[in-house]
Amino acid sequence: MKRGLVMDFVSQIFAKVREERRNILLEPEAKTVCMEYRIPVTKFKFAKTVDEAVSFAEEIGYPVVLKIVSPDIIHKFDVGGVILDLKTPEEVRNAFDSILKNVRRYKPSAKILGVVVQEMVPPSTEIIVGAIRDPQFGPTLMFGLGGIFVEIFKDVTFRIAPIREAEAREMITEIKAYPVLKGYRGMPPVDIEAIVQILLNTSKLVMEHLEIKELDLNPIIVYEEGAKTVDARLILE
Amino acid sequence: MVEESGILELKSFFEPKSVAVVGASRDIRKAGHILLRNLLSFGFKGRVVPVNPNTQQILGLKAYSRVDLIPGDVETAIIVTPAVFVPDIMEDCERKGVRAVIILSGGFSEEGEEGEKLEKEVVQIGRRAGIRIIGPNTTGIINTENGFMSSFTKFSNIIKGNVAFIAQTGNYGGIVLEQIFSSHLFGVSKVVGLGNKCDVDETEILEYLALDDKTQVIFLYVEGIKNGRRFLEVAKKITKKKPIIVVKGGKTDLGAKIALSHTASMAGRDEIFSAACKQAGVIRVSDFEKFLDLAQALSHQPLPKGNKVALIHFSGACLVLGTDMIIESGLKIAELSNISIKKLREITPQWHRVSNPIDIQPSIMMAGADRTYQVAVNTVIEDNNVDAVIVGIGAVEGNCPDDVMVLGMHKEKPILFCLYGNKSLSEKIGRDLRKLGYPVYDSLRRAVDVLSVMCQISKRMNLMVR
Repeated sequence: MKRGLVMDFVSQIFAKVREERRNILLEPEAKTVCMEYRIPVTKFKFAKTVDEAVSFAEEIGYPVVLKIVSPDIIHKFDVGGVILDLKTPEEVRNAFDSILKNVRRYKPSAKILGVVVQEMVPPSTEIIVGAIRDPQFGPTLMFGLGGIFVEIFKDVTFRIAPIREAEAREMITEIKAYPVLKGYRGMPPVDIEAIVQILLNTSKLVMEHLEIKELDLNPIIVYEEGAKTVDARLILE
Repeated sequence: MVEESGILELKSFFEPKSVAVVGASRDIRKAGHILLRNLLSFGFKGRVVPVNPNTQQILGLKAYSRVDLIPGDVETAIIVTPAVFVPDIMEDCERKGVRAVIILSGGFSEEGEEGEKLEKEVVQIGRRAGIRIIGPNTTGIINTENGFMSSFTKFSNIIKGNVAFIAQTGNYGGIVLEQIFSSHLFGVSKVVGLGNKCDVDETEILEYLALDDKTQVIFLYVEGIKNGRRFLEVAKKITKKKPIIVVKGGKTDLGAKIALSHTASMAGRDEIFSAACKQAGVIRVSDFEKFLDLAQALSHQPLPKGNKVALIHFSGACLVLGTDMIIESGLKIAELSNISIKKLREITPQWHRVSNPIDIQPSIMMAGADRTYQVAVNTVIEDNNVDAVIVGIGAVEGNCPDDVMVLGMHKEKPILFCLYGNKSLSEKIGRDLRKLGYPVYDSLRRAVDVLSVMCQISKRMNLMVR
């Protein structure tokens, strides 16, 4: 049965992570898990060499973003491990070298596995979908608008998983900043249905994998049609 | 859901046929004496046996030195000895075939490592012996239906009613209860102090109370929920039939730390608890006072079938403020029917407009307070456009009804009263109104807040007609 197969694949990813004595997934691993649960992510490929990086950039299409992949680096931006808006193979080559230099300078002992080559998506409204395993209530979902809305205003809603469609919609309409999603000051309304689906699929993911301690899909860029998860973080118990 | 056998097990905590009081005392100041006296004073008809190795007789009852030396059946034991003796007593209970134990004593997991060890031992014996445990560190049970109680608070009087309490706290609960009983706010069906929750937890008690036809309103004070998911599932079902109102302590970090030493609870994130309550249809309020306000109304008044409010008041300012509060709470100001306007016209001077919110001061001057309040209240109750009524009474001679009986007893729509004015007169009027089953508040804010929650509950229970 297809459901059983999907569970196995994600469990395999988790098993490999544990084998390597980690509990934090690498970005490509986290995004793969998302894809398995039909949570839309930016096009990405895991490049281990600079030549691979260039070839993948051609495949994905410019502009692209390069991000360091290392089990020892959590905050990639802070260490110069992310370079945006690369439009030519030359820029990709230079960026690859820069990233490696930056990371080695910051943390010489860091194990570097390669870089993620990712499509650079146009800006739009940013949302956050998260999940944690609460000690009292188990898998719990969180939704909010990104940036200062979550960081400063803490305008987020929670629901204990599993949730149904009606509850997903409630989560969305409940936040104070909901009018932003409906369209505001010339900004068009965003694809609410896409957000509903992401919430429902995230609910399924955390209910079928109770070993997930924390999941952060942040940011997810939402357009008039469709959405793309730009960054995904997943931590196991 | 707790299976049939689960509910049956809990019956021994509420309707035991025989009770041993272990740690009963002849010293009238001791808990072991007060609790025994309570057991004998409020109508409990089951067999009561004191257990104390140092005495032959307490309060006219033969005392035994150990539980397993008592002849005949002992269904339930209440233990109030120092913690260190409890494991041995548990083994005596095991030998005797006791089915339920209420451990009042403190000094267990709420105090530290030593206490935790003792508690673990007690739990182990309980599991092995098939004995259910409530506590430790609690005042235990009060069942007003049959007078069974393990509490050692000196109650002056117990008022029977339909509100049940489940609390993680002991002594405060006892004092608050005495306050509730003595002020005739509402009556109580069952009280359950869970203490450290080493075995029986709030979710099981909720399931029991859901099936108790004497209980119509459930109040829960917790500092941490043992199995949040199970609580959610169970509460979700119950709130479709009976309201559950919860107060949770330990919101702030400091509060949470105190909660840890008070009853050794696990605290989760507070917003998550609120979300869980919302999902389960559980009403969360911030403190006991808000709960008392709610319970007053919920225990005696019907739930509203809609959110249109008639506001009857003697003060113009209160009419304006009241309207603001009603609208801001999401309720609506009812539009009176022509029939209602006609009826009110009869007691209103020509120059004064008749509409809702209803300013009755001119009517009081024209027709007197008794007739005014009688006509006003009866009129809005009969108006199909009105779902709920809030009435303001100024306790000043000439401005308030001499006898609130003129208002009648109405059971179709909720009526809430706000009293102002002279302290002793408003206290008297308040008492009389409460005797008729009406909730009384000292401010519009409190009445509107209560009504707003009543509408929430009504919606949850699918009672809203519009």
